[in-house]
Amino acid sequence: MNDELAALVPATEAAAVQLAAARWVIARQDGESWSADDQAEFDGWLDEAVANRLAFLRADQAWQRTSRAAALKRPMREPAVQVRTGQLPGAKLAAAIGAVLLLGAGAFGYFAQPNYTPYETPVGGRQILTLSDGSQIELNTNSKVRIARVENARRVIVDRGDVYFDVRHDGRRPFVVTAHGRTLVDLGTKFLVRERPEALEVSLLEGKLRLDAPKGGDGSATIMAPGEVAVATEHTTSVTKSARAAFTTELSWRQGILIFHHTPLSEAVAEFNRYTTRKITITNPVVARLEINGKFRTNDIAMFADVTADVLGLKADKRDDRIVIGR
Amino acid sequence: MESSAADAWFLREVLPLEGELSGYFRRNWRNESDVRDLVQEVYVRVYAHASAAPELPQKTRAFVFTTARNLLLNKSRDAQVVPLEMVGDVEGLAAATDQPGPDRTVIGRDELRRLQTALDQLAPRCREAILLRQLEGLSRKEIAHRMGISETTVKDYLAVGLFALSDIFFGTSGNGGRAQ
Repeated sequence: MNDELAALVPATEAAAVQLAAARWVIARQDGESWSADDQAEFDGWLDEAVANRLAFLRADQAWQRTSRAAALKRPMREPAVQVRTGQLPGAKLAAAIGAVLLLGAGAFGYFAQPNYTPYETPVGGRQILTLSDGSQIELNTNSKVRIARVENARRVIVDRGDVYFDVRHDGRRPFVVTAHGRTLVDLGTKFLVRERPEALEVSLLEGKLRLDAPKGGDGSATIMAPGEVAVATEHTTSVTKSARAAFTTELSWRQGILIFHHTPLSEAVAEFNRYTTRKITITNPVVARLEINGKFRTNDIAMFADVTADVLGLKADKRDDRIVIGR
Repeated sequence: MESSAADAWFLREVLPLEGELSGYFRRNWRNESDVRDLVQEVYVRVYAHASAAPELPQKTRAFVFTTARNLLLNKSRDAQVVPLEMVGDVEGLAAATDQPGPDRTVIGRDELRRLQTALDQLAPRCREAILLRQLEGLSRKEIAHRMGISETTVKDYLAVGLFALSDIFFGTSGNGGRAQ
């Protein structure tokens, strides 16, 4: 390393470890020249000292932040090298990714997927992510997605919560969403994904969307039309037609509002509780079955409790950590 | 504790405290050049503790700063010096809560702006290499060609650039990669 550069790194033990970590992060980017020997050496270095591992995590995080911000700024396109040399970008990249996954799949599960960047909202949060191609991904309360920028596709994994997609269609670069072990491919689309422990629910507002067949099953892929709602588990798919009005209700969280039409109180409360850590509890099963109508702000649970109690002739007992609704 | 869970905890809860932790050491330790090593020592200690424990620490912030204080006390004892301002800071620690900091939530545009600010602080050649790699997506070979330097030197620029970017993102100050 030349003197000018060396002068930029302080002469301390920790700085030496951090520089070594930065070198590893950079070296791992070279998909093609990264060999099994390199991986073995890297694994050895990681295991040598906890400080090494932590410095690597830190530098890798910084690199990912840089890539992520760069991805927002950069229009998605082929890297210049692949255009110029006329190679098949997809095949080349797939080979490179394959190599990295195989090499990294051993003891270091965490390091095997350097390409996905997680985004999550806290309870009560809401966030809009805009990709460099103009596509938007909107996260409701307590939701999490992971986004990968690869050269020939846009990939999003929905881990939990409600996520609304407004996708700029690009036939050469499909937008692929994975949730609940199932795969959705946009064909020019606005759609809502709700990932719940029991099933995946997909509502299509505009355009076309393909829901791939369950893995290992003999079913075929489903092409969804606007107004359709698909409920999918890992092995099953069912599609129903929904009224437009229902979509308005389902998407009202984008305006910070929840809408209920003849909704059982237990369901309305469960919905509301997703937005707050100060939960509402209902102790009486008869009360739980009462129905509620109305529009409520997701950030004002006390108001919801008061109005509900008022309208249904109940009592809302507001404690510091929760609100109990009962007779 | 699975190492991947400890890794995720470290990235999510500990790393965002780096700026504050560096500041704490800078105020309470006479030797500025030791700060980086002290921060690393705290990282190693809390991570080792978290990996060995059945569950992740509940109050990360308090845990990290208590570890930092103990480290300083040990060091002071060895060196037979008492850091002057430390008493005040120890009291301040009691009030330390686990409020999520602004680093925990990330919004696209802010991130872009932060990257811009960070890049502005890099040495020009390091910045150029990073931009060619990340924004233009060029390979090392192409960057070497474009900048008129060897591939090995490209690696050096990228590594030192990333070293400096990490400092800027996580808040360790010092001249970290700034042009001299």
